[in-house]
Amino acid sequence: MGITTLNFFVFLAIGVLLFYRIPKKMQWMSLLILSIFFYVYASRTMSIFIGITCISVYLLSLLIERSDLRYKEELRRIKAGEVEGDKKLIKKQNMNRKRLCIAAAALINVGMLVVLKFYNMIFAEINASFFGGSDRFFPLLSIGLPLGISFYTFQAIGYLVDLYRGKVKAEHNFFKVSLFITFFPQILQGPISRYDQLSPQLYGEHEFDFQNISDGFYLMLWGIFKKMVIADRAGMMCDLVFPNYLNYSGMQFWVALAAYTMQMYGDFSGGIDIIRGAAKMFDIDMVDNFTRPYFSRDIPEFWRRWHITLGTWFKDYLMYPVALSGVAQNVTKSLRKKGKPHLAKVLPSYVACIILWMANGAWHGAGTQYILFGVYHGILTILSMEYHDRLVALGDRLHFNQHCVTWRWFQVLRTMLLVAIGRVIYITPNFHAALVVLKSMVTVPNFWIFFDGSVFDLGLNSANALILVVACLILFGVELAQELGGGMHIRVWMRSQNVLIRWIIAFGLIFTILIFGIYGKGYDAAGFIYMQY
Amino acid sequence: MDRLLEILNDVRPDVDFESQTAIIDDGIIDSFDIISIVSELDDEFDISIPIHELEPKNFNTVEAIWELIQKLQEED
Repeated sequence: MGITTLNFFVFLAIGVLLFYRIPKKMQWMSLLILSIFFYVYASRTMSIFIGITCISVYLLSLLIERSDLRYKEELRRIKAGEVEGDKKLIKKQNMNRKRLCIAAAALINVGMLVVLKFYNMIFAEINASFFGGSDRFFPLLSIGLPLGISFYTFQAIGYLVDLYRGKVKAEHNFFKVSLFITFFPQILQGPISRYDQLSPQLYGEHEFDFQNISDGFYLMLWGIFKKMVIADRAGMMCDLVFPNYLNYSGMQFWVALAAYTMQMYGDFSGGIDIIRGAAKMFDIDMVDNFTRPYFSRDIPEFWRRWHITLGTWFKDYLMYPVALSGVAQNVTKSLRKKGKPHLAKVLPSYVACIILWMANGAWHGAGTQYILFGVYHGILTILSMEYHDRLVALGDRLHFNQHCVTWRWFQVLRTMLLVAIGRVIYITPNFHAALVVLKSMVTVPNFWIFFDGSVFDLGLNSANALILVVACLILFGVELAQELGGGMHIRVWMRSQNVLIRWIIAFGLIFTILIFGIYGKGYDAAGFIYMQY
Repeated sequence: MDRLLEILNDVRPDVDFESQTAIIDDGIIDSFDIISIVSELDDEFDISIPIHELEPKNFNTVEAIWELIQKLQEED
């Protein structure tokens, strides 16, 4: 059940009706029933994997809580003089017990994710290299990836780590924990929510408010516009050009890459808008995953504004633990003693940054090109951190105006270009193909494609290309208004408008989607790009 | 407190930390700065700042950071 299908909208309408008709104390149960139905309907027997995650996370959360309670009781008895003991020792023992729980959770859940995602890639390679065929020796799995496993696994592990750190309290109701992990709008492609942000809303009572329904509806409409009018149309060009890269060159790749830039954003942010809109109808505010990332002025800023919840997850649960580990601290101290203060300051961050980006790349897909994509962004991030201040200082010394609007737009375009180049690494079939495409982009000046009409032979005829450009301009206009308006929301602005204006905008969007949306099995089959992660 | 300010200014000489009231919330320092600051504070004040304490409320002002340091010193 894709989130742009009629089935989904019927399911959502029934769900919203049910949610507000039943007693408020039972609302969370209705969300759980809807979520289980949605998942089992979409995944059938593959649902067993999310079931294992729910059970393991629930049991381990109780063990972490029990360990904390034991520690507190032991500490109380030592302080009261009832027993003798070493406070530091029992604290350490508690940490060790809890770490064991986290390790078990990672082994079970990240283990499932890694095996299902990487097993075939690794063993097909070994079979091909040593046994003369990708399926010759080691049997390959034919079960595919469970729906949303990369998203719900991270969300579930995040809950346990927050519990380990004492940031949240353990939920004793297994079904409530299951709802947090399986909540149906987000299961497909995130956002990766935090327990303290989402769970009070999931388990709380909600009054019916028509504003939530209309806000959710507008947000969903906007998301569908981005997905069906922009992303799926741009995708027609990308699906033709990059798999058949040997048939194209130079400017054709630039055009296709621009289309891919819009496809990625329309697809992912559109999907998130639909998800947030659906959740809003249940009076649940999900965190946003995007804050107009294409207006970023450098790569670190881009990643603070693109797929935000994945970035903050990696930062909180991977980068900080690595950079602030005992080993990192010892290395830092050693470097300071050796008179290398700058290296001591930056080395832990940079090493953690590269590890984070390799993991981020692996999260996006099984294949060396995804790891390379991660390393590419890791290196760009480090270069930016290392040289940003020096370049600004150099510009100042040269009396170069770095505050004017043209410089800002140059920075924005530069960031978009660097991001687009990174995407060539994984949109092409392999790394060699990526190098061929990149080389062609800078060595083949076939500008004539813009004048002889051959630019319309890239999968989009002139009418479709025009629709895509106009739709992108509408998206750009809205986001520019938001950027200049300090992040204001169009749906909030619409509330203050007359009903006529609201209806014109709503019906305008509906008819735009109906008339200019891309439909049909051929275009629809791929679904959302991020659903495959 | 003076030593804390020295460390902060060493990591980010371009920021007037004493006048800031939302160092994290306003994005004045990033995760790289936080790692450098925490690493230096751990070393200087002989504490171990747990990751769960890396919250905006503990790092939004110089006073909040100082309170965190004192709290952790007392716990030790």
